[in-house]
Amino acid sequence: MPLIDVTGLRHAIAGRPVLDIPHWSVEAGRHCLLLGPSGSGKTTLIHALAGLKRPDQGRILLDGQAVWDLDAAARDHARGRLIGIVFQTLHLVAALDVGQNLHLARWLAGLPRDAGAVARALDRVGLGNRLAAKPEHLSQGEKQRVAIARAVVTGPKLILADEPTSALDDENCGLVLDLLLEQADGCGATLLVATHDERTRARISDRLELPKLSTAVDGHAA
Amino acid sequence: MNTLGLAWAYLKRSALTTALNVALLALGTGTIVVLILVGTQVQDRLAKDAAGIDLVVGAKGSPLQLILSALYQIDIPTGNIPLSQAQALASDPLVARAVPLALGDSFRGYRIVGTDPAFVALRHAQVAMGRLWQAPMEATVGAQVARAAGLKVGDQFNGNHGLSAGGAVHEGTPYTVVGILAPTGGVVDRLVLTPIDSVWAVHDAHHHHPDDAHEAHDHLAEGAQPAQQAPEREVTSVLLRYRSPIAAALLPRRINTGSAMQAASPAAEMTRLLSLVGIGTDTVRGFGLLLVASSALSIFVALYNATQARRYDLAVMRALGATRTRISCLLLTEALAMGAAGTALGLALGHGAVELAGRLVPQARDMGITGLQFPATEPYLLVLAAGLSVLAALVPAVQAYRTDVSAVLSRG
Ligand SMILES: Nc1ncnc2c1ncn2[C@@H]1O[C@H](COP(=O)(O)OP(=O)(O)OP(=O)(O)O)[C@@H](O)[C@H]1O
Ligand SMILES: [Mg+2]
Repeated sequence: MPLIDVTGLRHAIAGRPVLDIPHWSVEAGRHCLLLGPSGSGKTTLIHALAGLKRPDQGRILLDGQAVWDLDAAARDHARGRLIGIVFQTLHLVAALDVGQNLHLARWLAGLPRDAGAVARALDRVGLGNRLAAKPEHLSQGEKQRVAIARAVVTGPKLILADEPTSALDDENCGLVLDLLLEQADGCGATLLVATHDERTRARISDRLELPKLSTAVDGHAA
Repeated sequence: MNTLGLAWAYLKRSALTTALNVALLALGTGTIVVLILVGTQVQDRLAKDAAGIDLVVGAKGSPLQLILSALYQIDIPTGNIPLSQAQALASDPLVARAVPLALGDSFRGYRIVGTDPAFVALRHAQVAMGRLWQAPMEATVGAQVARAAGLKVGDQFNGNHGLSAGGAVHEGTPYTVVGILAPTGGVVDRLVLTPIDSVWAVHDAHHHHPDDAHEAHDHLAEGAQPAQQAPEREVTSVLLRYRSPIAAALLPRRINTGSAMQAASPAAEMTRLLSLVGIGTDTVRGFGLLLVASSALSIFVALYNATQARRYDLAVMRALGATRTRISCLLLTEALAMGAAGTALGLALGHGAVELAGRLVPQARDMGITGLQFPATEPYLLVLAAGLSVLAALVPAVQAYRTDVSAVLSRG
């Protein structure tokens, strides 16, 4: 059974087609790149997979479960349990310290409190000593690592990373990719990286190329 | 991590706003608590001191003044009435019990009341030490008087002229303490009780004193003429208890229209007084409610702004697996926490302020005001504050509930 199984997925935004994926599947353990120019629907697909944005048509099976057949609360629970998300803009909760950000992820995923798991996750990204630091006192690189640790601390089956490297220089781009791959392997998760960053192509061989179906008229681009 | 911990983290992060909201709410509830406490206690005290007394008869004047002076011993008397008329009242078939009072002197600010031992029964007081007064110049003192002046059975003291402290001392006519009353929490605690004869004796003895020339109008001996051999004896007022309910319909009218005296009903006068004072307390209560309402508004604005500023935070929590309900609960919890803290602080402030006033302000202490009383209306205050905080959190919570997480995240 594939981890991701998508059939007949179609989505349009404001009357313009954004996604059209007749069939696509990802086997567990096979990290995958989601490629395409800006506006090709990468973020839209990621949100559809994560159960955050309902597609117009089609079926998405995640670990055998039809994501959009679940009721809203069950979908939220499934997301917390199955998926770890790394955002481009990281989004650490500023009111909480580093350790609490990781505890928050575990709590929201419905997992029991586990200080050991949190400490280990931070150790693995080299931030074992910054447990009590506030996000605002971290460097950009450290924040990135906390965001990755937060995505893996719940032991997800799938890690979704939307443009994790586009704001980074070459050296950091390589480091972050390495870290993502290493962490995904470390917790047995499958990594799906959405990017238009050419530098990531060499690291992951499996890929889904999204064509740009229509030209944006409102100039919206991430 | 849990909802409370998360709510606490956010409240701490915007500590100033949180503190402002809590302070506003505390001031509002505190004001209301003070009003409730003082209001109920004053009312209770007034009702308790009037219990068992159906009518007060005294000299013509303001009926409220008559009640305040004769019953509560706080205002000056309206004047005196002839003893013969007071005695006539006592033998009236409509009257079950009549207790005369003669005022005029005081001891350290506590009033010396010339009266019958029946007064003690009428006021439900009991002797704690010694006995009741019998002979002239014997005195049985209230609990508070004994405590304040350090009086013991057998002690002697001189009265001061006039009802307030500082009047000329009546030398040569000392009172002897023969008993001390048990505390009643009522007006009796603040009185020195003695036979009416003592009051007359003190003033007869001092009649040739030059300082008696400027006696207060309430002075007993005022009506006495030195030239006359047997001046008509006077008392200040009479406390009456009816024999039957018919008396209430007949007696006051007969006294007020058919004699030179005035009859006033404690119940009627107190209702009138409370309705007068009520306007004042209503205003303050309205002000307290306004404070509570404005703090609810302030909590609303704070949460509304917070949800705008925290759109991404809330969306990220959703992405991490939080349900809509959990997010709404977080906002409700923050509002309720502020509401609970504000109300708790307000209750503490209110009770503390009243207790402090009860200890430091002499008038409040005399009234037996305490902050350690918890009126039955207080739980409603908690419900009110909780309801208002939930109301304040409702719009932000619904907004957060409806947020399109995908849209927020892709714009971040
Ligand atoms: N809220 C929206 N309103 C209007 N159009 C939208 C909205 N969200 C997305 N779109 C449009 O949908 C299309 C796909 O957007 P999406 O964000 O999925 O692209 P993307 O591949 O992630 O782009 P990028 O690489 O720039 O992040 C774009 O043409 C975009 O303009
Ligand atoms: Mg995108």
